[in-house]
Amino acid sequence: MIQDSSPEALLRLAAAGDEEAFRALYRQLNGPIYRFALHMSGNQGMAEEVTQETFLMLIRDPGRYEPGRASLKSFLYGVARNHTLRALEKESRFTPFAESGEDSEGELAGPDTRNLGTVPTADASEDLLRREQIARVRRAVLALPPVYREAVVLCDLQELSYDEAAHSLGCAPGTLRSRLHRGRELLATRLRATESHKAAAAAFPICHPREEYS
Amino acid sequence: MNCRDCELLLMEAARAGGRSPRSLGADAPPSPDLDAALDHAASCPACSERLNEDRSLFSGLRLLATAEASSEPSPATGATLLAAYRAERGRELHTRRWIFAVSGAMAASLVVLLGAALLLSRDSSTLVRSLYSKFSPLAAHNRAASSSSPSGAHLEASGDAAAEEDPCDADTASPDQEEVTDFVAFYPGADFASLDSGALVRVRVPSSALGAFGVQVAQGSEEEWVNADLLVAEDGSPQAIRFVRAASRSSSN
Repeated sequence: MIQDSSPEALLRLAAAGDEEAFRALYRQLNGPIYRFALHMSGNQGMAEEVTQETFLMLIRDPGRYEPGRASLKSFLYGVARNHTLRALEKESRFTPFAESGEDSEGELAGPDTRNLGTVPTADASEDLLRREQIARVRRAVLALPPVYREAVVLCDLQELSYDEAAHSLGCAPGTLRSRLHRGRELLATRLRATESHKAAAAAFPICHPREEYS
Repeated sequence: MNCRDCELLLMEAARAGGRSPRSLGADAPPSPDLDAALDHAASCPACSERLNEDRSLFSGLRLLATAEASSEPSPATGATLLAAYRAERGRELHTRRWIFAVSGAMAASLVVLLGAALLLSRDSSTLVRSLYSKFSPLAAHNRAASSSSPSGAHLEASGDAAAEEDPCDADTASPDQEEVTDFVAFYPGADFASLDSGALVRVRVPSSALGAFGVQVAQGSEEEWVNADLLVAEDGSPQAIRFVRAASRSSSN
């Protein structure tokens, strides 16, 4: 059954002109690539564009993938990562007022309008709390410097092994572990900070009009 | 095990969440080390707090991953890519057809060239035949020009034109009614087969001259005259000779 074939086998068939194999390959890998770009950029439009560019490369030049070196999935993450970093750099040129800190972080993350209905909830307040926590983690991830963000996204959100992630990022596993450790530390620090900030805002709402009206 | 040693191990334990650390696959730390780190965390308040923080961090990350697990690009992206795939395959097919067409044309040209090469490698008699037909008017001219020549040999033009001009000559026959010997070179090593221009001149020579070319002459016929064709190069030098007799006659050379 073509649906159960490995991505590598599907790529071989697709390169030989099998359209069904290409469809199956896209079905298998479009989600992970899109979510990686989404976690890296916090922007659905950019994630769509990165996904498109990544698969276009595969259509036009399937020979760029060397089966002996890494899995096709790792290879595509690497391609998507390069496209994402280029897109982020390009976008940063057109946002001259964006600065590091809470304001720019909020802009980058954007309003949380995505459908989060996949998480089961007991009641509305629990659902609200969960959504809030998810939005907080998302903002904290997006606030990480790209070099740490990509390591955290690949290993802790996309659940790649350290070796696969190292292949995708084109670095040694030791380097990846070190970046990951640093990224997790920064993430924990930021989450602690936003939690205490939130607690303070709850205790003294008048001191934090921005939180109240945002 | 001290607090510094178990920091990374506790992080991996937290990363595994409620699952067994073995679920981390290749990333899973060795079980004895992990057990030792967890034992240490149970007795160390700082490491225990650290473990809780790590668990909270990974719990948040898992929540985010689960929330977006079903996020996918829009169907429009898939449709665009499918169209691009079809266009690319179409282009490849077109290129492949061109390659086949060009290869076919090259193969046909090769066959034509080989055929031409085979035709050009004809044997010397074919070359002489073509020279004969090509230069027969020239031979007629030569005969007219040399009729007053003081040469020992009585020169005559050959071919149909000669036959028409001298119908009384009984020894003159059309090339179709003649039998000829092979050409004999005048000089050792003369490469008359590679001549690409020149003239074929019909002459009459006494039978006694045939012996010089290795042709045996019957007793008593030394006084007879026989026809011969001289192959003359463009510079006028004779290259070879062959002897001719009418096909209907028994033998004269």
